[in-house]
Amino acid sequence: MNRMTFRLALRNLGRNLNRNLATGFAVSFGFIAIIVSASYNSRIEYLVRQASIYGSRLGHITITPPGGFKNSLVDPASYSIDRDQQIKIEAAISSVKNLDFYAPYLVGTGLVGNGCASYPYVLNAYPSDYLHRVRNTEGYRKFEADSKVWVKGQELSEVPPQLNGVAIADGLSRILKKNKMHLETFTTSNKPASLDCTPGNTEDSLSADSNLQLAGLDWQGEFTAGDAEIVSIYKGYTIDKNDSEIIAPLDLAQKLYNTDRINGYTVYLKDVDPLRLTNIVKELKEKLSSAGVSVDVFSWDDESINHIYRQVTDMMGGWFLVIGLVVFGIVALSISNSATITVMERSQEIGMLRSMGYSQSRIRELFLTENLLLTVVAMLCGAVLAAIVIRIHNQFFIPVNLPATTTPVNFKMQPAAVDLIVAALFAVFMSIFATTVAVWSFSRQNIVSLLYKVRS
Amino acid sequence: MPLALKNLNQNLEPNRSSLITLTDICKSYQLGQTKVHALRNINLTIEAGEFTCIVGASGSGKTTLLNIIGCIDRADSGTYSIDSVDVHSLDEDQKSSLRNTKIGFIFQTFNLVPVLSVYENIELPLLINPGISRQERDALIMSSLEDVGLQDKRNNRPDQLSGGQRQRVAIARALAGNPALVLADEPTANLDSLNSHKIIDTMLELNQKRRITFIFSTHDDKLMSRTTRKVVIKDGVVAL
Repeated sequence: MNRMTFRLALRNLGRNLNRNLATGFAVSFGFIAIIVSASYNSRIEYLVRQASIYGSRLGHITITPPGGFKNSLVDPASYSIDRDQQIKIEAAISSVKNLDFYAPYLVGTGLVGNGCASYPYVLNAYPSDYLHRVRNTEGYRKFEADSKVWVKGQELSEVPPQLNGVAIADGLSRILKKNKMHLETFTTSNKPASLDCTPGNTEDSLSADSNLQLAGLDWQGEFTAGDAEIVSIYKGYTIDKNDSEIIAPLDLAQKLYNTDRINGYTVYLKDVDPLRLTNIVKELKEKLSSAGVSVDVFSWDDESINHIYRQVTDMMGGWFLVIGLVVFGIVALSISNSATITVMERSQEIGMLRSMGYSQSRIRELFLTENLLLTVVAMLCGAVLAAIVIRIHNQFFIPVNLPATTTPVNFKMQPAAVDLIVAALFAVFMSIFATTVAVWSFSRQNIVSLLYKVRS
Repeated sequence: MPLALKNLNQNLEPNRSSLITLTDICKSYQLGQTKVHALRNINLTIEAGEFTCIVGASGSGKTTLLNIIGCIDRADSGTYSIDSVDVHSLDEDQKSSLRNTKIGFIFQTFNLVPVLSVYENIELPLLINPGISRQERDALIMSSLEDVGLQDKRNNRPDQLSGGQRQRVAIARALAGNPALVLADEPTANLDSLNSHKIIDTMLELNQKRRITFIFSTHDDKLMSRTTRKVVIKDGVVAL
């Protein structure tokens, strides 16, 4: 493309201003629609990702005994890791590049009582500083800022072990009518002398203290029970966890279930792209295998441990594809229509240029330059307008509840560079294709027919 | 550059005897169910440097003949050569190159690009000639503008010019690349009498000054009288 082709293309754009503006608007709005759709798509992917890694505390990598992720809650003893294996696994994890921190975990079930009634619980136990470390990751802070997740009270690591402090999900605390934490009840002076379980009188009585009774079967199948003190209440991210979860220090849980085993590890990484963990997981698997440890190693987005992420992203990807195809179809038709009319109107000019020695390919180049210029300018305008729309939209907290979650998340638009590049390349391709289709037959037409506007 | 064109360039020199040779050229069109014979066995030779006028009534075949000479249309049969190079043996790109370097066109409706200035319109055919540098291009454009007396209009757009001025721009564009042959299809048809004579004067002057072969069609008797050679076409046949 020489200087004159570009200049001619630029000036020709002003020649049929209304038509080119209409085409330009179609391209611009199409591009805005793509950017906005892609931004919502990216946002949902991001939120589900953050919720998985930080909200559900899957970490970037999860290690379990074979089959343990699905079965350990039902039969924790059979899907557990002994001390020898723990040492080998921790050695392998410690050698992972980009390691931030890791934590062993133990799961358990049983009944939790408030003194008057008992309810089932699911217990997740970690080292006492684990929650504090998770909440101090950049990823969690971002997730917290984007959602209505909250935590009240003390960190488990802040309270003395002999207090048997636990964190309890907000939903379960309401079921148990235990809405006060240790620090609040500790300073209460009007603590009733005895518990009154008479219907209608339980509210004040139960909430007066923060004591819980945990009961269940230990890993040897014997009955076990113990007291625990609510030191923290948090909003569980998913409905099932919010209504049933208790987070306890690992020591407390191991004492309760009479074991020194654990059910798995969560591993958090830093400075990595969470969507590109395949190699890290593969290396870790190889290290564990060579250390003689037979375990499952999952990245957080592995379908076998996080099918919700896969289902949501697949569904959103499908919608985005449909929207994208419709938008690009409209844009392509607009460009093709505009190019066809323009070429028809300028058939005499094409004939004149051909008579001067312009080849068919040069004529096509001329019209392609015009439409590419129009497409690029319109895309730039679309990108600027989309940036403004996104900026205004993101000023507000727009609460949206994702499926099966308790807390609304801020439904911002989050444009991803890769989506924009793909959309721009696709628009350019459509422009070239639509223009070529429109111009092809005219550029090949007999020069006399073009000059005298007679179809040969 | 294709071999055939290279030979053509080497051989096309002013005042060389026959520039155009048409032998038994036939051309017909299909108009609905009717076959119209536009040209029937045309035999014509035009010498380099001639100022030839093709005359004839409307529909006599003047334009078809000019189109075939200008390599923008193809004869059904017969042979056509420019300086011994058989035009029928050239492919589309070779013909494009031939038109660009050796033939200039002047149209009845001027056919200037409205969004370009006078200078840029004249520049159009020169831009695709790789043998012309930017400086040479500028010199050629200015020389052509000077020849048609429009130096002061170089930055004007076509819509800022009169009909006569526009046709002079078209002439300047046709001449800019120093072609061996300039073809003009009724160049004065859209002009008044005064401007028609001025255009013919300009063409004659350039024919003499640059020794460029001019072939133009007209049915204006006053203009015919000023040519050195007149070819009369009647019903697709050279009558005189």
